[in-house]
Amino acid sequence: MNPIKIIKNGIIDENPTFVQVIGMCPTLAVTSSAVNGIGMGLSTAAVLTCSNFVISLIRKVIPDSVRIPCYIVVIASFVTIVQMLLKGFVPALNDSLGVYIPLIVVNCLILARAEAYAGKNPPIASLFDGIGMGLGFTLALTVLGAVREFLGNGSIFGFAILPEASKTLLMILPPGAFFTLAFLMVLVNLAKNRKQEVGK
Amino acid sequence: MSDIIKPAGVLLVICLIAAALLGYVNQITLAPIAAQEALAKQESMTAVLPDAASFGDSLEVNEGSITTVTPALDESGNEIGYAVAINTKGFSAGLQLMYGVDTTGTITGLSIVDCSNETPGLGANASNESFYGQFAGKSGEIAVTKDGGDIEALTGATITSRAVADAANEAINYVTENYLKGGAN
Repeated sequence: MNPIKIIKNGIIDENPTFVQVIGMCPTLAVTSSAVNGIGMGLSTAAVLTCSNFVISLIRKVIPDSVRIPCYIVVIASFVTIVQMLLKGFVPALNDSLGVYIPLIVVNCLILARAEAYAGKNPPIASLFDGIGMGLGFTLALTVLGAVREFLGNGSIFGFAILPEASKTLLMILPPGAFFTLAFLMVLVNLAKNRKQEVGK
Repeated sequence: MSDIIKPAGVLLVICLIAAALLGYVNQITLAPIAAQEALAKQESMTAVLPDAASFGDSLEVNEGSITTVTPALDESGNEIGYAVAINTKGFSAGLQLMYGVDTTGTITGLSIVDCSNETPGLGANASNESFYGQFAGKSGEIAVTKDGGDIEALTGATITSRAVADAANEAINYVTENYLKGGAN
């Protein structure tokens, strides 16, 4: 087991958004600004890391036929507990991240990693897989959010850059999410193909 | 038979553990969460009625979209205005607002308590002061410019802006009807 390799795998080789194309619902919905992208990405990363670890710990006692309901119970309980603790004891963090937490429960990225990785691998490796995938997701969402915010609102991370007249409102509306995702995926695939050809 | 009972049993045990954990966490966080919410409410009431020295007891209204009304008191205990808490529907449900209305039926301030269900980047921009700050000092019929009023609507979020303006009218009307006409109360 090589932690760095697992993390790199999550960020680049098997990036959840650009390569695996999972967790599309929050990806398209919340990336109207770079800050939203980071918030959603980091909250997901935290939950994914912990849920991967816990599911990997109990993977041997879970019968194959009921593994999906078991994963869902673990993930949903985990998210709810985190939300209640944040609300009660860390209200400042809850104010900035609270809106993303309910979205995590229904994020198929977490279920997909439980199914594809944590259910078959030891806890420590699953922990690193969660960190890698979470960071990859954060990176993708932040880039997506930054591009949309720049074109649609003329700012990045809330700092105004473009003049008022050059804003394209469409980019922060739902169609902008599809356009941006499509163009970013073209770029990622181009870069990948070029790398493979050089490799030959 | 055992290939049904064993998975069902494991699932049952996992659900039991999860339920027990959730119940326990709920119990220890119930009081702090309630305290946080009360504190947040207090803060938004102070924000919309900056002249108030203290606040009286909240009255549960639950009429239309108005949830509670709290009288604001000056140092000698006279009512100088009312903090009206509203839970309305903007683009989606759960838009929570707090209006301050003084004894002449004028809005003294608006605080956006929760607009997290509105569209990020559009309706959720209601929490920017350039939008909600427009409401202080307004009275009478309040409307967005598109409807002939003088509130600049949020870009791409006319529905949210209208909901906030409508709620402002509701707050003014309620206070006027129930407190200022020397009637019911």
